[in-house]
Amino acid sequence: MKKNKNYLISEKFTKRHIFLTDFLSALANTKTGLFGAFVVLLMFFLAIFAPWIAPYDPTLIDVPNRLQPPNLSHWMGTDLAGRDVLSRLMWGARPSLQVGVLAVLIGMPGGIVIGLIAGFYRGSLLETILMRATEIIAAVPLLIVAVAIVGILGVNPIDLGFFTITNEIKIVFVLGILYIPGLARVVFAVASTEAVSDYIRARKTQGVRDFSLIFGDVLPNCLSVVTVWATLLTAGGVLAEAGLSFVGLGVQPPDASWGVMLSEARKFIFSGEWWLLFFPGLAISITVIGFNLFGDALRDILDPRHYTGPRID
Amino acid sequence: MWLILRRASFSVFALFIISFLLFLLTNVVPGSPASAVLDVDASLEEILSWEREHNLHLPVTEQYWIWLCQTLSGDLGESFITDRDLATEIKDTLPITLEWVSLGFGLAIIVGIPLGVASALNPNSWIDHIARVVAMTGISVPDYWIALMLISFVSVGLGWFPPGGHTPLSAGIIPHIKSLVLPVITLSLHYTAVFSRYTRSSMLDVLSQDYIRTARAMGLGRIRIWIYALKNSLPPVINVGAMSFGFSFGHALFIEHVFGIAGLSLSLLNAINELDYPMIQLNVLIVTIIFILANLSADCLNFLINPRLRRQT
Amino acid sequence: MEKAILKVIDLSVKFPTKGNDVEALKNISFSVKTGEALGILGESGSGKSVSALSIMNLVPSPGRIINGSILYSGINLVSLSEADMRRLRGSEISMVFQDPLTAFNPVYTVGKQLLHIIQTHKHKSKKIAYNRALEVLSLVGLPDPVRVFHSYPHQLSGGMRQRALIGMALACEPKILIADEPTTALDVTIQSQIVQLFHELREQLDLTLIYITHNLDLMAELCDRAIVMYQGKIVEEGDVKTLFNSPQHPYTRMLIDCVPRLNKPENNVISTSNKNGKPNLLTHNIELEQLNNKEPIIEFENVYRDFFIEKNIISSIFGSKKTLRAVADFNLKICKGDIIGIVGESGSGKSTVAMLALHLLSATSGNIYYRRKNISNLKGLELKSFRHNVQMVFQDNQSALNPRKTILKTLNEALIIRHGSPQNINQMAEDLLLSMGLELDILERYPHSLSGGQRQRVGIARAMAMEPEIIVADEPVSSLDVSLQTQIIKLFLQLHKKHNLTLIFISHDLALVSHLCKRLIVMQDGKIVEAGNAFDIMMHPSHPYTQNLINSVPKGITKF
Repeated sequence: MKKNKNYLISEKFTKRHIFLTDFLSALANTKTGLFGAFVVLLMFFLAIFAPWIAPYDPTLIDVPNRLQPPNLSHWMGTDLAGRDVLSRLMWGARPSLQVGVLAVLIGMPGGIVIGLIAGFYRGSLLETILMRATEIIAAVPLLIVAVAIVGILGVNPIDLGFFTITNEIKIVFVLGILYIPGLARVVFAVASTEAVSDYIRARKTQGVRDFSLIFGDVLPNCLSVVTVWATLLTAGGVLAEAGLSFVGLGVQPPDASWGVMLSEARKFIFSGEWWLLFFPGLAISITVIGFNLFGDALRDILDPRHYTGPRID
Repeated sequence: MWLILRRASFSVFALFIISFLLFLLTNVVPGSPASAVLDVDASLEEILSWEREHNLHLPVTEQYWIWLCQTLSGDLGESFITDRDLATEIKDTLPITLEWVSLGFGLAIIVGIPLGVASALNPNSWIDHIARVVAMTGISVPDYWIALMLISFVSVGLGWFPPGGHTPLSAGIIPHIKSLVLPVITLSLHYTAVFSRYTRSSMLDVLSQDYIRTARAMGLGRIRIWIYALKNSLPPVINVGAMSFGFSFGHALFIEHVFGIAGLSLSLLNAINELDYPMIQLNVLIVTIIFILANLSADCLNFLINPRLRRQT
Repeated sequence: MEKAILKVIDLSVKFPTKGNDVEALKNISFSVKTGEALGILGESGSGKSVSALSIMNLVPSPGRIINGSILYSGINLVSLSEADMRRLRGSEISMVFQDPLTAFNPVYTVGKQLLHIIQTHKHKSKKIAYNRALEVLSLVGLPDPVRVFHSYPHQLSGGMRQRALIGMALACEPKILIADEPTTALDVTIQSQIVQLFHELREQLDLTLIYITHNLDLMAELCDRAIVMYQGKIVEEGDVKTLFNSPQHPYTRMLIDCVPRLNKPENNVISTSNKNGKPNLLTHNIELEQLNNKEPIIEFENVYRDFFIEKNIISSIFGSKKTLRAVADFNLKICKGDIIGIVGESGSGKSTVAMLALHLLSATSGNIYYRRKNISNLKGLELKSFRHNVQMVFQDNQSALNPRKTILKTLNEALIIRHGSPQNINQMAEDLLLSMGLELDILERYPHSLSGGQRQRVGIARAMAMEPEIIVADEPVSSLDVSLQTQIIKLFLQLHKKHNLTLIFISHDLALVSHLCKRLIVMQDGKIVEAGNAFDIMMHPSHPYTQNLINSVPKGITKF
């Protein structure tokens, strides 16, 4: 057993290196996972680069050319005000993804912290209070409450003087807070199992304090479930934003959002302008499917039981 | 037994908290509902006297207490806007929503659960693949889009079913059913997917358990083993089902909006548009109560099926 | 002469995995004579369970039988249809598995499940089936068959469940019974009862038994013939006497020599430090005398530990709390350099004692002293010193090491706490690893990619990183293969010699403990029932419970 001093590679590189290559190869093995990842990347790409790749200005009104079916100059046709549907579609990725991602980001800190603390101190009064509180938030169906709250708050920006709360921000916050119970419950399940495991006991015998244990030892083990859940919640957020916009509580016309486009298309179902209805709905569907497939693939990969990697016995 | 009572009392507690929070929310919003009700150029005195009439000058807690006493004694009050009796509103709209939502949900259970079971028993077969595709689309595609597409193709294109509205039973059973078909199918698509997915994963989990292996080792027949597996996989599905029933009112909102069905969820939307706070509050509370009742009945059902819960420790 | 009732010919089983296919069985052949008891001996990965599952055609997918035949009464079981196979299972060939709790369907009573089996194979009539069920339940020695019949699996104890499971397997009077490690999950005293049951059943029913185990002595007590398996192949076979007295294959030899045996406490490792090879009892006793006169480093004084079982919030605030007294009236003095074994079955409180010694739990009443200071009063630097000096090694399972941290990180964490943040910390980790007999390439790996033995060594390395005075080892080798157990024990002894470590060794395995420890205490239901020199206790146990424990340990070899 020779000591090879060159053998030790720097910590940062090794850890990420091993996980990442394992992960990518596992992902590549599932067709659905790949497709999901591709869709996710595509939508983010559209959302970020829409201003540069969209063929037309999404708010450009061109009345003489209104309600044209898909043709060479407008690949997806034009809408009731002559605006290019394709461009509006690309720009529409923004509000949907923004809401989807931001809502999750708002909910994550609260959900993770609550789940961790409740799980670590399972059986105590603290856990009971925390988990019951989250149960109360979860007691109402999410969409109903979201609709009601956003509706009550009104669709106009609230001016606080130094800061204006736009409609989107309202939606993001409402959804984010409503996401907390789900995240907390998922993290709680993992945290409570890990908190009584032997390696935590070993750390305790080293004299490590609870705070470091929770955030240094238990948290890394919760990250995989959080990632999966976050992906699935993003999918839900996209659906929620589209739905809210559809009933008039989200993005307001003339801004482009897939839900707004659908609500505008309603007037035309009887007169046969199918492209107004088809494309926005398809966009929502594909995006949500993509996120869901990606989340499912993540769940399969990150499940410790699934690990079939190299074993040296 | 005690478990159920404990849950029930906690739910009631949650209900109080939610109603209070909602009450708070309506009072946080700047501006007064008076401005929505009265004429635009109403004088200050008129606004103040209207507010006084509706107790808006009292502190929030007192208002809440008054509201609570009124509601519990059966007087649900009148809407700000329409001055109609709220109780009648509810009486008119609730049964409609309950009817078609239950039908849709029931259809989803009848189709979804067997699909999930078949999928789990025949992994990677053609039926498994179809089931998974259906499931993925069902949970990802927005219902209002499906509704619109259905109307566009089936109703307008083929003329089989009316494109909207709700024909009451009094107008004849066939027209009544015809008016319900499209919304019921729309809702059941989503929930068939949910049930199929969940039953599948629950079954797969159970089928990998030791007792199934033992049952096979003892030579039990195929059908007997299916029953063994089902009895263990159904409880989580029942729980999810109950939760979903509550959530389905959120979906119902969009579907009623598209089809123009004068149900409970649509009245919520209308109330929001008109800033009819008492109605909003009542509406949300009723949905919450339904949700809680659904969860409690799921608990009862599980209690009957799973003997472990019956044990008093 | 006896005919073969079962013949396995050239059987091969493969498990296709991404990457390499695993050959679980490589062309094995053996036969079982009518009425005999055949033992299949092997460690994990040997393929012993797979061979049993193949006979029943229950190899879990994606595993498949790719070659060979299994002849039973002239029929080739491999080529039977699933429906025909189903008819045989439970009625002609039956199997009993390892874990009685998970083997039962939790939503049906034991009786119901029994009825299903009887009605499928034998008697459709409910009345006849019911009577047969009760008959079978009393056949397996259950005192109250009617009560058991109406009980749910979780309401029965482990031993009763296993009896019921055996009853289920025998209900339809099969000709062959396969038992796959049926006692491994049970306490030693229950274990011997079950083995006794197998003996009786064999005699009463003229049963052919295939008994799979990793425990040599157990197998020797029960079986006539045995086959030894290693990595999918049969390395040796023959009748048990010959196997023990003159093993041919090196693997068999290793198994026989390696395993600590109860009946030769003269082989107590401490006392073999004698040049002649003969145990020197005099030195042994003098050593112990010296020990007992030193100052105790850890002392338990009238320690009690209770656990509260709450019904719900209301009762926990107001009312009757049910308490479980895990440890009672515990008095113990441990001196530096001592190796003390704590032996007991499940529920004896031995693990709770470990938690108390480490101050992971506090005593409900009584005092625990570290270097004459009460550990519940320790603060600051004294607490720190206590923490560093008392470390633990756990039963190896996935949960002893943080699955999200590399071995390097786990070791470094410990080293940093002990030494601050030294420059050469990676070097220290390397040295530590090497001193445990591990290779350096482990450092970058995650726990799940290591073998059980490797993980256990890492656990010991982590404990040693703190440079402790005392190590508490809670069943540190129970989940390891027999061949590895001795290596780990030797490692502990090396560390003991090198650093004058005090070892508190907790186990249910008397044989192991009798070889390793200088002193021994036996616990039952939270109390110490016997304490003293390990050698004395093993040779002359005074308490009936200790005697029972010693008697329950399979002594296969003493037969010969």
